[in-house]
Amino acid sequence: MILTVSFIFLMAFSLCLYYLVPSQFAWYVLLGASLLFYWQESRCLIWHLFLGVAVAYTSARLLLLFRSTAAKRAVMWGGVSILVAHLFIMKDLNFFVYVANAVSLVINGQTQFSLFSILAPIGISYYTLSLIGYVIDVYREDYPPEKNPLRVALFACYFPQLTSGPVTQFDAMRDQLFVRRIWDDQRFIYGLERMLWGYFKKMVVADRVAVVVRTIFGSNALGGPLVLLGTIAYTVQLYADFSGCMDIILGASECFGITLPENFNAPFFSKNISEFWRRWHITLGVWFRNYLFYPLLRTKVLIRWNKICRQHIRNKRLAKVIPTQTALFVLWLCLGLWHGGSFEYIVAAGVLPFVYLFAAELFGPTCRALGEKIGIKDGSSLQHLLGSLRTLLLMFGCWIFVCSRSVILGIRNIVSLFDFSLCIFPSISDWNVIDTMIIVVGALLILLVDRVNYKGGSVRDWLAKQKTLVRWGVLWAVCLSIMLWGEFGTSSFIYFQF
Amino acid sequence: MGTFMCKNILRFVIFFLPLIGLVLFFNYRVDPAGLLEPSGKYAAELMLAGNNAAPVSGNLNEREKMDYLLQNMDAVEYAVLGPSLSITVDKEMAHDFSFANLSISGMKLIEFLRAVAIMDQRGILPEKMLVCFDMSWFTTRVDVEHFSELLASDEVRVTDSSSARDILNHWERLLSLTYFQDSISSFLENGMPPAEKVFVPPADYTGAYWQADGTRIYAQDYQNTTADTAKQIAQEYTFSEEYDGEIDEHNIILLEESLSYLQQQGVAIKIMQVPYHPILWERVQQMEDEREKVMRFEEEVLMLAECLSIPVVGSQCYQNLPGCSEEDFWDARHMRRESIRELFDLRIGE
Repeated sequence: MILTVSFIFLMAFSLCLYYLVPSQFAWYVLLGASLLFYWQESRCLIWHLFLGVAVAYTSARLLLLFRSTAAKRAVMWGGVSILVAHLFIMKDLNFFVYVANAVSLVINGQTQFSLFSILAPIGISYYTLSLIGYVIDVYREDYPPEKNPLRVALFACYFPQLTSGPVTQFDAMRDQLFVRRIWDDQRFIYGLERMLWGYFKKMVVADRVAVVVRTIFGSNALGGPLVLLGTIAYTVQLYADFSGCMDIILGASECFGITLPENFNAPFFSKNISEFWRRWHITLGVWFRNYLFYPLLRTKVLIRWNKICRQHIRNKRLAKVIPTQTALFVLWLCLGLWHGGSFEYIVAAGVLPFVYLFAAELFGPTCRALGEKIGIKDGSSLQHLLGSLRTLLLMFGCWIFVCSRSVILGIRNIVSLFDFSLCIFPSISDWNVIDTMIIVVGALLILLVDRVNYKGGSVRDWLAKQKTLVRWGVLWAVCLSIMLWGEFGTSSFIYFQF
Repeated sequence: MGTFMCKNILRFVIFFLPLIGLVLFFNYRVDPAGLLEPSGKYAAELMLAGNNAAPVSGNLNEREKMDYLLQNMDAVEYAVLGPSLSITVDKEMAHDFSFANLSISGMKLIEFLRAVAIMDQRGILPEKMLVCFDMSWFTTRVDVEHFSELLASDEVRVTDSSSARDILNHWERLLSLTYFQDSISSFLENGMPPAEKVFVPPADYTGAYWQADGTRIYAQDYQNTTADTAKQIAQEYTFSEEYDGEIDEHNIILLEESLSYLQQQGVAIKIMQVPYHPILWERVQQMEDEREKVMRFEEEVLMLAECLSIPVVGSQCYQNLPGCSEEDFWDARHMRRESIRELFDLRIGE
């Protein structure tokens, strides 16, 4: 995929063609490269992509034909339902079969349904969300539907973002994909630099620390220190992996002069859990907020529920909070399901984040007041630091389920966090102190760059202002680190599986 | 735009040139596995002249060595073919005067078949042949079409240094970043190696080398591995890809046909089965999939031997080899040379 030599070749080849063909044909190059890329990765599963594009395109075009709101709504619901059902069948159907079997096992003492043999095509979760967004936007008349189906196809399968997002909106992409192509010296270099940084994060840090995570969570008996170390290691791996992937994707796209929306914004410096989710996988959060949360709040059921709460709950704050939290619960549940049809993801990326946010909503003011009483002023650096640590600890609680690979094991590992009797670190073959140093230094570097971004600075702008020798020195150092310590040809990105 | 692009492409090239140069330099000069120079050929030339051959890096391209030997050697009475499990079998163990060990690390079934085909074509089939099987021989399907093409060609050559594929491989290796990492590690550990990649080792040489008859002599450090270290290696041993595939009937038939053909040509064959380290064996017994596969492999080997009336020496299970213990191993899979000498009767047809 994007870690392979064939991706680099595809990039180089399509870049040359993209800038050499007449401007009006440039997007055809992107479409060709994207379809080639997808074909290479998915072969005959490419028909899923065509199906999604066909449904979205037809729904959007049909919306133009109807005048009445009811008919338009029916068309929109029809299109969205097919896309959602397609995604559901591909991603979550077996999960529900599994649940039904579990229930049947409890009631009848035997399982009744056999699992379906389904092979989900790469990137379906990402492009389906983008296509659903497109249909809804057209329905809302945010912009007119696209006449050319090939343009909708390119929007769905634009190859740098196809496998791991970010989730994009059609109007933002249309304004870049189909306008006059302009060669920008600086942007091209920025793009390459960003890709390089992404490869560093992934190959040097994430893949190295993955060995530690696998070893720790592959052991049978884990003590508290080991679980904690494993979870910290997984946090580093997940962030370096996912944000590295995004850097490669955004950098690659930047080389074509197309800016994709950011997916991360220094999440580990967030002072509370709600800020964390605004900085982590941003485009997914924005999508669910725009296309699920807000529409849910406007449904008749929620409006009626709001009324009931206001009438029956005396505490005004609670009466106001509960309907919103109900919509939020649905949102988080869907987010959990989106991450994968398994209980650990539903808990880690759905239920637990909701519980945290609900608790923050309920107890936030009390905690702040308590903090003020013991001398931690609102807005102070100390409060920020403690808030960041608390957020990180809460997120450890989520990720522990993911790296344990089951809810029961996750609970067991959380319990064993407080067991200090077992402290034997399982041995890792060919591991030495240099590996540990590489991880620590790499993780600190990633945090440092994030810190600069968090403070509103930009490392790449700083780099651009330096003399060529300094700039090249830094870039050579990154290249050499990848060449010397990168793990080649061993893994895929964590977020590819979603 | 054109000027801008050209300027940038030039800048791009200038930026990456030193890095590419660095990779090329270290990969070529250090060449830790002896892949880039025809080290295998150099070693084979020394061996054919009756000398021992030691690669500077401790490794060389074994397939190239085997090829060159097969193409140029004279007929021998006793030959050994197999993976690294049989690589240390020597003349003394075979009790024969004219001997060649043609084993190579990780020998595949297709490589065994090719070796037999070359010897047959050149009319140098040995009178006696010791064959050591590897699990991968039964699990990695042999492409018969490809093999038939090879057999049909005028001259059966495993590697032809002038072929396009080989040149591509050469460049791939030269530019390989994984190989670059190995080169740097080797450089940091041993410094820059001399330009001559293979040499005749002196009598007191402690590094790894090949004897003139093809027997591998491991480096003294490796030979000094203690039983405890071997035990630890066996505990941490991870099963390689050969255990992933299923045992393939097609390969067994191919092997049976080739052994039968050898018998028709008057070659007396013996099969050698090298046991797993006792710790590894116990681990295998606890793993359902692996146990099943290993047991099936053993069964198939015995059936094949029975069917063709080929004697079998040894077993995968250490308990079937009287006197075998943890002390007899260098690592999880490889037995000490002196233990092989002591525990196996490798005489054929006596």
